[in-house]
Amino acid sequence: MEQLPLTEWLGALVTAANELATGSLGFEEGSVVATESSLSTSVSGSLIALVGHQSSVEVGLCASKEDCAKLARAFLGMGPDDEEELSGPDLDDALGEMTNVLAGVLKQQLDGRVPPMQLGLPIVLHGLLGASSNAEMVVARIHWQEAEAHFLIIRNTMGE
Amino acid sequence: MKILLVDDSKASRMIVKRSLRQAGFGDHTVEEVSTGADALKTISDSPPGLVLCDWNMPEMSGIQLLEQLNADGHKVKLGFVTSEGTDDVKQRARDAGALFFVSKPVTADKLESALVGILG
Repeated sequence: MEQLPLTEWLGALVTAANELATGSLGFEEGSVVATESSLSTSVSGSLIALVGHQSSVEVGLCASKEDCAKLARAFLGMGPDDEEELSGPDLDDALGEMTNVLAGVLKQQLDGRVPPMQLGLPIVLHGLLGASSNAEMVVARIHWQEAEAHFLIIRNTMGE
Repeated sequence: MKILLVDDSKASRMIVKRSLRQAGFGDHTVEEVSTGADALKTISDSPPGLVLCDWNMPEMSGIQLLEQLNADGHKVKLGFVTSEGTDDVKQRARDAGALFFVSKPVTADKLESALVGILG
């Protein structure tokens, strides 16, 4: 099976992100406002690995701290008038679970087009994120009325 | 009936509990644990009527939990609620005796379809 181009991974990820947003967050479908090969701003978010026998990718969801909180609150069904504060650990947990769900939807979308891959466990990140010299990254920035977020794919290129 | 939720994510457990209520199963007692080890202990101490279990968890995965329950002779009803949803994973779950498989994102409709024959 030939390696799927990163642009196709990203296209499927955008579809999965909008499915998550409309199905689980209660958002209207958002639009891609930019596609990039790096992230230049400090972000918060989560990464999860999809690991196959021959290759693996990391799937990420990142946003500003403010937008991360908006996404997490929507994911947990907390309304805008809900005054309850999300603790740091609860926010991280929600971001990780959102990425987990996102990667699962992506994996199902690509079933049969990429070799079998196992979902890993999400890790949370805060700060600058970049691909190493042995990896390539593609990023789509999606804007919804309620928030904006970056969705990214990182693929290791060692051995290619 | 007591329902045991097994998921390392508090957010996921919250969403499943809310979806159970929305699906009309709010009169059942829900207990939750975050690890397979805690699930084994809870099931041994006070067997639930149904276990809703995540697949990917640290230390002990959901399928490892089910296989351990089988090895220990527990006859608990268990289904998976997970981001995994490919055919090979579903087949492995069925082979181990899982009753159903609900793919995340969880919705009330998905849970109702999976559980109506079990919870009534």
